[in-house]
Formats: sequence, structure tokens, C-alpha cells
Amino acid sequence: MTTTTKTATHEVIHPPATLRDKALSELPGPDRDPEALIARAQEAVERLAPSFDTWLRDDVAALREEVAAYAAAQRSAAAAEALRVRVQNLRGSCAQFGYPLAADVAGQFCLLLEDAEGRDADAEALLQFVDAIGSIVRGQVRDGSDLLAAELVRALRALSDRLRQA
Amino acid sequence: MFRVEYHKLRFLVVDDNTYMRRIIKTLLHGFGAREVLEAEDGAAAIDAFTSHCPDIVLTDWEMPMINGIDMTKLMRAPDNSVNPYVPIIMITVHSERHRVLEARDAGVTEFLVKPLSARMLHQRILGVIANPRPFIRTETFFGPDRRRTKTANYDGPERRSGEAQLIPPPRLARGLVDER
Repeated sequence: MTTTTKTATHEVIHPPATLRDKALSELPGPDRDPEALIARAQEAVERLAPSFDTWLRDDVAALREEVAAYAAAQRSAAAAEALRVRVQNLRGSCAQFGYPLAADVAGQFCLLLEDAEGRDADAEALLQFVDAIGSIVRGQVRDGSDLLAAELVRALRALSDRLRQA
Repeated sequence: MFRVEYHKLRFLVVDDNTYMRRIIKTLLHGFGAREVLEAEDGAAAIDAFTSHCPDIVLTDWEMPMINGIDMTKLMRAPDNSVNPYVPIIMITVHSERHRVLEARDAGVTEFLVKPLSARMLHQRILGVIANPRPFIRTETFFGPDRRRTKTANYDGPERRSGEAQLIPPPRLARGLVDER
């Protein structure tokens, strides 16, 4: 039963704990160990890992086409926002699939698009960001120990800062 | 030890990225879930939410048209939603404080930053089931209580007048839930 406490400024509502009643149990046993459950689920995801690079490469290729189309068309604020959502999408994939440097580049790319709202984004610069993400994934650079990749990220961050201040 | 009976729950996974939906679905199935619905944007999610009444919603933030924040607000609309109390877990690459606060103020129950792991997801799901937070309704907000803890030695102003009259929420005893 839902109980509600009212004050002058707000209500505090306690809905019934239906999910607790429905799906929480206290039944210990060898196959009920949460650690085993977690390990099983993680292993299931790790079985997909050989596909991660292919998925990312497909996403990068699709994004490259979208950036090129964006550059060729009239670059409205709505188009920049659609592209930003697409890049955020790729940023999430990079983070999920073990490419934090590529996620960092995608994050800088998004900042550039956010600031471009209502004005023209530099299409050539945008393509540089896409190419950098593609290079990091192709080179399987998964951390900052690759000096060339780290330098690339630094240079793109500087480019992003410069373009946003322009 | 307490355990989530995943096979008794219906999940709705909302993400415009096919691969992320697949990762989340794989984790949920790995936990033992059988009913995992999918939606690729906020509008499709509202449809699925209304027609299938999922027990828990897992959503991305950035999506075209209706994003995860706007979708949360629609699901929380107390007069129009089929279940305004549904737990909503946001899974996003955004980790900035202002983003976390924005999600909280929209009514998001839990916030997870990518990369997502099985342990993180299980802990959040366990949390929303074992320790559901009370809901607060004000003129400008409806959603899970944004105060997760009460500080015993807090001596600042009380921003919610009438707080002393509140009845403490029923909660599982601390330590009852496995939070390894």
C-alpha cells in the first residue's frame, strides 16, 4: 500500500516495495551465489569481445560518411545536434569496448559540435577527429602508453580548444 | 544472502546503439533474466513502457528526438504514466557532476558510467529492488528522494520545511544486501 506524508512544501510517498516482494529471495545455495551470477554474465559479454573492434570500425566508417554529408550540406544547428548525438554514441562505444583514448577524442569532438550550435563547424577539423578515432581503433591503442596516440590526442584537444575559442 | 530472481523481472533496455543494447541484454540474460524488451529511442521506449509495463528501465542518455532525460520525465509524469515509480537506471558515458545532477533532477533512480560491468549493473539492480527510495513530490519535482543519506552532524538550514513530521521510510537493515 502506498503511504504519503504531506507537508506544506512537499509530499513524501512510499510506494509498496513490489519488486522486493516479487524478485528478492533469501535462498542460499551453491548456484545462488551472486559472485557466480556476476561472473557468468561477465563471461557472456567477454564472449562478444572478438566482435568489438569490428563494431567500432563499422561505427567509425558510418560516422565518417555522416560527417562528410554534414560538411557537404547546409550545416544547420539541427544537423550539428544530430551529428553530436551520433558522436556521443560512438564515444560510449569506445569507452565500453576498451578504447578510452578514442573516447577522449570523441568527447573533444562533441565539445566542438556543441559550440558549433548555430554556426558553421569546421568540416575539415571534424574529419580529423573521425580519422583519429579510426586510427586509434585500427592500431588497437587501448591506453596512454602509445606515445604517438597520446600526442595525437593532445594535439586534437589543442585544436578543439582553439576552434572553440575562435 | 539475498538474491535477485532475475527471471521474475521484465526489463526495458533503451539505447539507440544496437551494440550497447546487445551488451546490456547479454548481461541481463547472463543474470538469468528472460524478459528483456528493447527500444532504440525515447519515443519507442514510451510505447513499450506503456504497453508492457516493465519492472526496471535501463536507458542511455543521448538519443535522437526524445533523449533519456526527457523520456524519464515522461515516465515520471504522475498523472499520465502507467508506473511513475518505475526504477530508471541511466547508463551513459557522461560522468560530469552537472550531468549526474541533471539526471537526478529528471527523476533517474541510479546512474552508471560506461564502461559497464556485470558487477556494477547487478549492484544497481539489487539496490533499486532491495532499498527502494521514497518518492518526493514538490511543485517542480517528482521522483526518487534526492537525499540518499542523512548526515548526523549536519547543522545547516533545513530546506524542506516540515521535515520533522516525516515518517522514516521502511528499509532493509544495513548489511542485509550483498554489496560486494
